[in-house]
Amino acid sequence: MTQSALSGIRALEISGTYGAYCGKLFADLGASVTLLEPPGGSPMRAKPPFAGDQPGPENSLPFAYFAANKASVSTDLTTPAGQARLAELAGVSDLIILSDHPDAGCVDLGKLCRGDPKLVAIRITPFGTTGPYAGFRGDDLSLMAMGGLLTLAGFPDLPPAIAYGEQGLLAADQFGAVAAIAAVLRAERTGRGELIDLSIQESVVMALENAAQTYQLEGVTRCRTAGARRAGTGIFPCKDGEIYLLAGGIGETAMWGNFAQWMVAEGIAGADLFGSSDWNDSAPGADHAFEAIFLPYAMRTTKEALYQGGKTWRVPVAPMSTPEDLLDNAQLDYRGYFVDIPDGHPLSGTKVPGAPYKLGATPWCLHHPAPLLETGAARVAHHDDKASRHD
Amino acid sequence: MTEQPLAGVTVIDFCWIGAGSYTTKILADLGADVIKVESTKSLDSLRLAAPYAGGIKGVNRSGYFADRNSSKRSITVNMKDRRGVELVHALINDADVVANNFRPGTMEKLGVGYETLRGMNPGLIYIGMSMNGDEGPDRMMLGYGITIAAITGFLGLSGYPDRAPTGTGTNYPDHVPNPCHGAFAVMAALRHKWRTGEGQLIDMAQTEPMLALMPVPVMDYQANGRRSSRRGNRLEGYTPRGVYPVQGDDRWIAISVADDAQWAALVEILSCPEIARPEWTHAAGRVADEIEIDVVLRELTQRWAGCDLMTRLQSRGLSAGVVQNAADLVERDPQLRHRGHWRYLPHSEMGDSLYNGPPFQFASGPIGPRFAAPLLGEHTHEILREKLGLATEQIDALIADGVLV
Repeated sequence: MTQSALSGIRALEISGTYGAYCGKLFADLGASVTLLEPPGGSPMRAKPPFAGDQPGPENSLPFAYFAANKASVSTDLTTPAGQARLAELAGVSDLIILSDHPDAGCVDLGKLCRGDPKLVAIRITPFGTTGPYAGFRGDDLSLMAMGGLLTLAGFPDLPPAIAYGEQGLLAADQFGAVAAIAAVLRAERTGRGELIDLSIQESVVMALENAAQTYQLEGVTRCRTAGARRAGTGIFPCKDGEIYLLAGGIGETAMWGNFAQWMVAEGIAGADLFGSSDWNDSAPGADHAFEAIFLPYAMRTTKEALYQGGKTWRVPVAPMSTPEDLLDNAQLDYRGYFVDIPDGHPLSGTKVPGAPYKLGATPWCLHHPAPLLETGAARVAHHDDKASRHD
Repeated sequence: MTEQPLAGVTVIDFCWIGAGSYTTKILADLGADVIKVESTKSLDSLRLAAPYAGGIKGVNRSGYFADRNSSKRSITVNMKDRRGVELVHALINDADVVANNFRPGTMEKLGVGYETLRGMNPGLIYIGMSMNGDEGPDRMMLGYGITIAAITGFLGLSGYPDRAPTGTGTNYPDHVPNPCHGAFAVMAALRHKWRTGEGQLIDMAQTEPMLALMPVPVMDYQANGRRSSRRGNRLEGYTPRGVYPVQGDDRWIAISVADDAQWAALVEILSCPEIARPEWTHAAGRVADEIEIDVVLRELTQRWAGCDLMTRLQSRGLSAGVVQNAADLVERDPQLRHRGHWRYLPHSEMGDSLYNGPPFQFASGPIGPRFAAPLLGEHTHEILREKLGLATEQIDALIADGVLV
């Protein structure tokens, strides 16, 4: 029988619209994760888009993905009964993940940690729990602004533009999972738990590439530069869509030679220019010279053929994929990347992203779908069973 | 003080450039002893990536490299020399983790493939992080963060609908998705090793964590037949949601309105008849007029100093934040200062240079970068003396022979 890397870890996730991916990383490697929902259901159940564009507690596509593999229990944390339920659930948990649950203010992690010295608890908030901005609200957009990533993104003639998919909130979930598992490992070895205070703003700051160091070491403040292109670098149209080409590579890696050989081998008129000793991809006008030679070839070549050419000639190039492309991608298909939502849910059979890593001995596994709101009580029994087994 | 979470864990690190080095930096900052195997013959190209201390280029002067390699030790080894490979094998014999982000096959050519190493050390955790993973028809493709952003659809979905995609302006997958997933997977495997004694191979394709963070495009396509598209700063459920100008040169504020009460507060603070239209009181009316609302908001916000407007909006419960640049974050942000986010670590060539602390704090005590990035080969003597018991003269002779270079 295959084993799970995180089996035996019992996590209580008290989340709202973020925090869920932190719990999912644990659940997908075998931890027993229970989502504590308010009586009307987790706010993520109300997050669009919905199956059939019909809002409903089981119809949210984000919830179906982010809550998979978790059990659920509904309770009203503002009542004494809800607090008793919380104490009971916390008492059988190794890890508590607390984010923007509507009643997060009713959860005293410090008290729970003092009551159980082995407990690991993580609080995910926009700016951390203390400091001048501790009381500030934050959604993905304002946190990507305050964390600085927005300043790097977009065209100079337009307002900065946010990245797709609320990645600032997800960055916090990922760093939260890293901090939490490190603390759980230590708790298992030493018996000492931890109270972790994670800032979403700071999670965004982690993504600034070299911007902070560029400011400190060279006094230069990086800003958004979309549209300023080096020849052979950027998005180009092709026969059936677009590609991203990075013909010159990054830093000191000189890949122009590879690209030049590829273009010459394709018999492209004028491609000799790319291999000549006086070619400079950063020179004024080089981008136009490049396009005059490359675009006619690109426009008669598919994105897949260009990608395969890059593989052969060792040039970084990639298709600008659409969702259909991803579902048809031969590499992802070979690896069995997309997996079906398991039986027992209105969205069963819908393909969702699968293992983000393949652990040979303890594989990632999607074993059950997101919990239905109505069956929460049934599901939490599973959590308690596990708890008693490992106590 | 409570011990660091990964104290006692040894990582032999072949990673270079972006995502790989960031992954092992996370482990190092959590207390693991990460030994970066380098060579003067084939440099980690990030050592020669700007910015440089004082603007002066040099293999020990890159701030980009430094931030990705805090708390690590560096040894230089010529892996083309059999004696170099033997020394590395001896280090791996007692290690917990070997990490790399080469294309498949490269580690085997260097004599440090998984099958070879697991024979020596069955408890070894071995993580490979190439663009497309160890298996499959496109496994040999080489990738960077930006091409991974393209192939996953992340780049194409980020930006304004009527302009070309803009992404994050960075190699985003290198900086958060891949390092965090890689570090999480290694720690999960460490738990399994501590429970069973068994090591394992972790095959992480760098496209796959990024895809795991964007489930909606493929789900929406299947469930609703909808092709996701770029929407600028808009997001369903918030109207308006955008980035608007404030006083100053290229200064902006992000504002998200989640409900009618927040809209009413915004209208009150901006106190101008142009925006107080009854048809915008409710979300449906705002959604219908979102373009016009943006025009009006731009006109009104630019009269404000960004921080003043942010504070006013926050005091009424709105999510609002000024767009901060690196100078703002490093010099002025009072919250980051309060949390001690920025760490200045002494470095013998770079002086006191700037590192990110982690975005999390532990109640039990300090966590984060313990010391600055290593000079190239800085710890060659120290590591070989301490781990393999070599004498200084032996090490010097191996350096002279071109083995430890």
